[in-house]
Amino acid sequence: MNERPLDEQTERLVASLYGELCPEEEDALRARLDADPALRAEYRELAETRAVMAAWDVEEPASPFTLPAAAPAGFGERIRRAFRVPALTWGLAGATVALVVLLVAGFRVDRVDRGLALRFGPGPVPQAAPATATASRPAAPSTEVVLPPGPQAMPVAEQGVPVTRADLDRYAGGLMQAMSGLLDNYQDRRNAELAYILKGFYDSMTAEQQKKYEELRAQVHGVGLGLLAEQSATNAALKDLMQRGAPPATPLNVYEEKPPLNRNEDKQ
Amino acid sequence: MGDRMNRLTDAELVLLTRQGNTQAFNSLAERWDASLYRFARRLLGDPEDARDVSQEALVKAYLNIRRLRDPEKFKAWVHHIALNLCRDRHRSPRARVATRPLEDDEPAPPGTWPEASAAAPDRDAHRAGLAGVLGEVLERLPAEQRVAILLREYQGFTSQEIGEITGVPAATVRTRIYYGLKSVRRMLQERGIDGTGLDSR
Repeated sequence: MNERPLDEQTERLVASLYGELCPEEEDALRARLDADPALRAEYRELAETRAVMAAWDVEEPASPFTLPAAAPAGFGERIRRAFRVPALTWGLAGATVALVVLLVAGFRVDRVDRGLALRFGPGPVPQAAPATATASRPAAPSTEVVLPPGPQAMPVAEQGVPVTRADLDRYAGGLMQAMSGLLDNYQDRRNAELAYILKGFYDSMTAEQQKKYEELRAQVHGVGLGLLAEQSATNAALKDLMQRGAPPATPLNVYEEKPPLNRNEDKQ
Repeated sequence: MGDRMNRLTDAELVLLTRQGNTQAFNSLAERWDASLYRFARRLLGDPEDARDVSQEALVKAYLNIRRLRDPEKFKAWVHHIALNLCRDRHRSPRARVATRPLEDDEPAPPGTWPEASAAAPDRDAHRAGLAGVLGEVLERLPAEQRVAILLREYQGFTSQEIGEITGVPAATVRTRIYYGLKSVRRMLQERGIDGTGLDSR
């Protein structure tokens, strides 16, 4: 292939075909094209040839390139196993929901000597709570019984002072007020007791979940370290394989000369 | 993640890849995979060989990413790798057996095109026939002219970049393109094809 180097004008012609001239050079070339019919004809021929060549389409690659996966086999299963929700957590959550449903339905939880008792129906006025509270649980709410003001004495007729209807109405009103106060007091203390019990459940669940979370985190950390080690080993093996498999005379230096494709040299 | 990667330049993706970010290299591969395939497909002719070359070029680029001196020239570098792989395939005995001998090519009679001789009036068939002729014509060019024309016409490289890929000055690239275009025109005219009435750029 003996190609005679192009003269400056022809080289600029080629550069102009591909838009590689600066505006000043392009203007100068256009002026020469206007003045030289032969040069203009050659430019047109080259441009037409390029237009014909635009018809050569090739298909897109059938499958996209994907870097060889570094994750070891079974990695997905290990991750899923590490994140699997412990049965105990679900059990605690289910028990709490069931307890709330029972309470809404009318059951009540009473504290007895050795724990808790589930009963239905109105309960007795709670006795004083045990004074000892464990360090991990909040202090039980105060159970001191504060009686509402008692009813006035029943009106009694005295000589010259009969019991009137208004006296009886006041007495009945006082009784009703006293009864209402007692009921309010009982309801308040019952609610406080329930809140205390539920908070205990909640605290134990939170502590259990925190413990499981720490265990999971340790497991995931271990899986991550293992994965990194395996990926490093795979990369090293692949690199070693490529280095051993590639011919030493195929460097990747952009500026290095390679022998030309010699497929057609015999024909030239 | 993918969108963010797609907004980065080649040089930025190269630097991320060097830091161990495989997602960055996958973005680079997604960006240039089709271009490498089309380059190898036009140079080698065989789709499977072209797929092998484009994938091997990307694997080599990944394994040697630290050897790339100028990260901004990733595109030219990875096409240079693909060109070397194509050259290796041409030199291999398997490729010589698989490649159709050039001497067996019978030039088409003037005015007829392969695959288009049986009246194919529609434009797609016309282009398909023309593509077949162009493949044959370019295959007959001297290899360096063919490489220069493929990189310039179909891959969009500048003369300067082609010079970096093939290791010659930009002026030499223009010389190869000029003589290559002249040869293509002559061979097309031998087949009764000129630029009249075809798409112009």
